[in-house]
Amino acid sequence: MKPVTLTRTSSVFLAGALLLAVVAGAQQVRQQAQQTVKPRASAYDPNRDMVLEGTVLKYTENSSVPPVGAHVTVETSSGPVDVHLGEARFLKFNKFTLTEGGSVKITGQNVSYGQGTTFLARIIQQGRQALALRSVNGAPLWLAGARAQRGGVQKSQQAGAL
Amino acid sequence: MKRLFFCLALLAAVFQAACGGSGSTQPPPPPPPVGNFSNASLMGQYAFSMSGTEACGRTGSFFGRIGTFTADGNGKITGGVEDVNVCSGTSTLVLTNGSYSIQADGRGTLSLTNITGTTNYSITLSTISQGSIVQTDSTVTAGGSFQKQDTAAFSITMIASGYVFDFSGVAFDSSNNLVQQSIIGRLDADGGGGILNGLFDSNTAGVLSGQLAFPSGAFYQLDAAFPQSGRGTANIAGKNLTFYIVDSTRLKFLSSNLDFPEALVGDAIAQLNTSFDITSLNGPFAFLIGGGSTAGPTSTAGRFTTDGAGNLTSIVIDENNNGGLTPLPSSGGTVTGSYTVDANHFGGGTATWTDSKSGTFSFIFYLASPAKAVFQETDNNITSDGSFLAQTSGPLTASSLAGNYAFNWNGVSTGEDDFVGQMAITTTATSNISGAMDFNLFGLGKQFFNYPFNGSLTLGTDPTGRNTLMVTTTPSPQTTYKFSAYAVDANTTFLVGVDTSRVIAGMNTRQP
Repeated sequence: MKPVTLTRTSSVFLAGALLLAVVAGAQQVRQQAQQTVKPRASAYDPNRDMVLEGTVLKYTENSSVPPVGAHVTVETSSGPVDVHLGEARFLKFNKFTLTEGGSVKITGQNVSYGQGTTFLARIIQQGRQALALRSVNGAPLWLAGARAQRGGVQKSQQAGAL
Repeated sequence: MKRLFFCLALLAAVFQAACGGSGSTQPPPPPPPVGNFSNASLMGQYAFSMSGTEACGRTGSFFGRIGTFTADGNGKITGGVEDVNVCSGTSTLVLTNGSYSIQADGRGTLSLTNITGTTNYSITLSTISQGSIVQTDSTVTAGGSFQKQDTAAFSITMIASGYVFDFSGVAFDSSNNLVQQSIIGRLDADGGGGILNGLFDSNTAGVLSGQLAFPSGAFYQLDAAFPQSGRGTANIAGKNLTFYIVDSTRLKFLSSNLDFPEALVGDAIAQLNTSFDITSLNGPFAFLIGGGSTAGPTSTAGRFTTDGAGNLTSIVIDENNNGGLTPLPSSGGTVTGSYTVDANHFGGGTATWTDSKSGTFSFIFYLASPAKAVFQETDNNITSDGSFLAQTSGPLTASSLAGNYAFNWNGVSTGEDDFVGQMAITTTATSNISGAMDFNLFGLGKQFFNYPFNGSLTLGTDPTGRNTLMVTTTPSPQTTYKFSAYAVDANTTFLVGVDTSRVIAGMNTRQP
């Protein structure tokens, strides 16, 4: 996009001209200085996704170990791995139940977190059921809750007065 | 929430400063409240805004609420109107009834009735003109603020200024996922419904737009259907919004039906009419931001000093990233930083600091004045926003910080947690805090009322930096909340929780 430069002025005429300059659409007018600095180590990189396969050793809805939320410990061929799933309610909402001893396949990646690292799940599969927990960029998908449900939400699903 | 949106309540609070099964729990009664508030303290027309989590289907879902109510000074709500953006859609609802009760310490309860039923709230007044609010229904929790409206400002000609704004909530990303979004920016309202010189930066789940000019179609207009409410509609930064006027310097916004299921909530405040440059920032600042990361909810508070020439020094922060704590400077580390102010003089800018061990933290801002700005983190995978405010030049001491404070905290543990209350801080060295609060724990589906607590505020070697505030509820089982506290001045302190089991943040606002 062609950068434009805005100049602060009290002139209504110039302001109008500036407006004309921008009405064609949202044009980028300042490059982010931070794009030139190294990102923080916690960044989720879609190119670093890996797949964990194993059996469920333990599922915890509200783990006392950060990150706060649901965790599953998976016994893999290289040992147990603790995986952060996100919000337990989101798994329930999608009727996704983890069974100890069951096989599970998790797509995600290790990211730097606090003073160490943690494995963030993006997609979890058990049997024929798969659930996306995060976007390809790692953004949590449980935030919008039922609001994100395709086809909308019936008013009857809402509890109490508005 | 069990989500990342407590930042919305934080935002409202910052603007305020700048300007087991479901049920409820009653502990033994706290000591009689001390103060000079009463039902008569809440009188007149107030605009309110809040965001939080509602039960929808079988999960929690982000929602927002803005509106206005009129209190008669005698415990009755005599009218009002509100807009809600909930999982099933948006509604504009006339308030048909309501009541409230205010204790001497400024704490109280409020109920608002519309055609769908009655919603309930706990509030704390910081003054007779403003306060904090938490929704306390079993199926909904939310945090926000309310301010007395200036009805003389309910005219389009009165909205004629530069404004900076901060909206956050959920919006679609490029893959059509509803994810967290923060938008900050600035505009000139021309007093006739037109918007000029609109600039904004959006952060959609960590994907940055860079600074953009508003797309075509920006406007604002009042709603003739509710002329006594200060209600209006607008298009800002390409978003369709409903707003309520607080006064000519402040408006409260919520995404309208045109953008559903997106939902953004936020405020705009007047921008000083000046030509901003690098020298506009010269001195110490405290900040508070909240939002989310790939790991979950996050909040950060801290302080920094600007030198008027692009350098940042004396940087101290506490980040809580869903229980993962990152204090700066890191142990054995050093922090250096810099900032820029946009050459167009509209008050936008960037701030960056690097810890020798923890890496680089990046931000953008829009200045409302040389003492106040909306602030957004722009690091990869982090969507977090709030404000920074100029720190006091006067001494921060145990004596100057003693007094009564209204407070609100918002956060996440097993679900969204929202707190509102009042605390008294004395000059004694330890055990210098006592107070009471109401809170709503959405994850437990429980509401708690009149919960007494004790605690302590411990000042650091440099009280303009990190201080420690701890609060413990006294009914069994006791719960302790530990915060790093960054004083803006003797009247306002930013708080960020440093427990690993929750993310929580908020602020103390001195009562008269």
